Amino acid sequence: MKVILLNGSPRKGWNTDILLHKAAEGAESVGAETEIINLYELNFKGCRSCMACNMDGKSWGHCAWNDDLKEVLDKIDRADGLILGSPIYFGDVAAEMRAFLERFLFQYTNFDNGHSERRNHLKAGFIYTMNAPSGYMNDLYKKYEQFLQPHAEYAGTVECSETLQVEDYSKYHLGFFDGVQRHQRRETVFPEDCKKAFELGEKVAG
Amino acid sequence: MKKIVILNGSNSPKANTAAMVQAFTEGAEAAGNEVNEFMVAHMNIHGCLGCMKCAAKAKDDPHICVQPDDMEKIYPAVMDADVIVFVSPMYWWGISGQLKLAVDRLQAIVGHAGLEHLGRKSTVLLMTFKGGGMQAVLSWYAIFRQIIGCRDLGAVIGFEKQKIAQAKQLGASIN
Repeated sequence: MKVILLNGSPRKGWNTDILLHKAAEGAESVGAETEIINLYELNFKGCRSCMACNMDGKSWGHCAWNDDLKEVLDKIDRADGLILGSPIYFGDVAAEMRAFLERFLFQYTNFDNGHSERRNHLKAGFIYTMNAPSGYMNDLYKKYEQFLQPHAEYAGTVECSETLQVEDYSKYHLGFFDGVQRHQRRETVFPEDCKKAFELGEKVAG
Repeated sequence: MKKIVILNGSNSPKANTAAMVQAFTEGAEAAGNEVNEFMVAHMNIHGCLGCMKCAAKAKDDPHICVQPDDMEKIYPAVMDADVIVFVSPMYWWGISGQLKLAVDRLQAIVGHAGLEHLGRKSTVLLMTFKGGGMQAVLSWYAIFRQIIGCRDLGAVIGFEKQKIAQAKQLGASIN
């Protein structure tokens, strides 16, 4: 049992990263082997619409682009579980997660009949972190759940809202946000989110 | 006369999206506007690092963003523009990853010059697509405007021939 966790946040040791580590702990607690991959450390771009994955031949069904994402896509192909974690930037997942999703999803989608063969061995889950209040991005979670469904058994979504953006708000032009409230949430709500991430890890690996 | 910046996230400079942009540009220029297009998919643009240095009060770096890449060409144009046009083919009910790289990096203008700087501008969305995702992408566009506070001048989304004419009309309506 191998679970791959993709970190779509550039900030190591912060909200998304912490939650992914909790999810990894959850997966390990039920015996899975885990690997966390930081997308922002890799050199790759989004789908270029080259259509090689739709061309008859050996590249059919696989992204043919040979950059740092190739190894990641290969690893997911062999994995049993996939947990994606991303902050929401300007209303959608961070750019590197967007780029990953385009390449991951397009290669598996069969446009001969419009139906893709479901990868029944793969379970997937998504962890979102954001400034927005809870529920604000509900449509987005549904969208990506719908996209992942044909390729994996969807195990669940973890939403972590109104996150702590920086440790010391007095040093930043972030007057719009209430630093005191964010610190309170960090103490009271974030541990709950960590628990949910741990449980998602258990579920994906279970 | 308005200054218009186009952030084009299409990979192909000759495909469907290009025809829509060309029509929009023709309309906008005929109405006396100045149009500046960036093909962001072919530029060296890295993802936002979320480092928040753009928003730090004790800022010792005069640059808008700490990352030295092609966004240095885009930032002054966007800062100076009245209208920002987002252009992309529809990928998975959203804008392309390449355009999202540039959109995420606009955070540095917010950090550097304040939300109200971008909020004074207007936006346009041009997208080519055939299939689903219209509602999802309009929802993204609405959320973006809600966060920034900028004004919508219109969106043209589709692939039919009349969409090209609509893009031209939209360009011509800006003055």
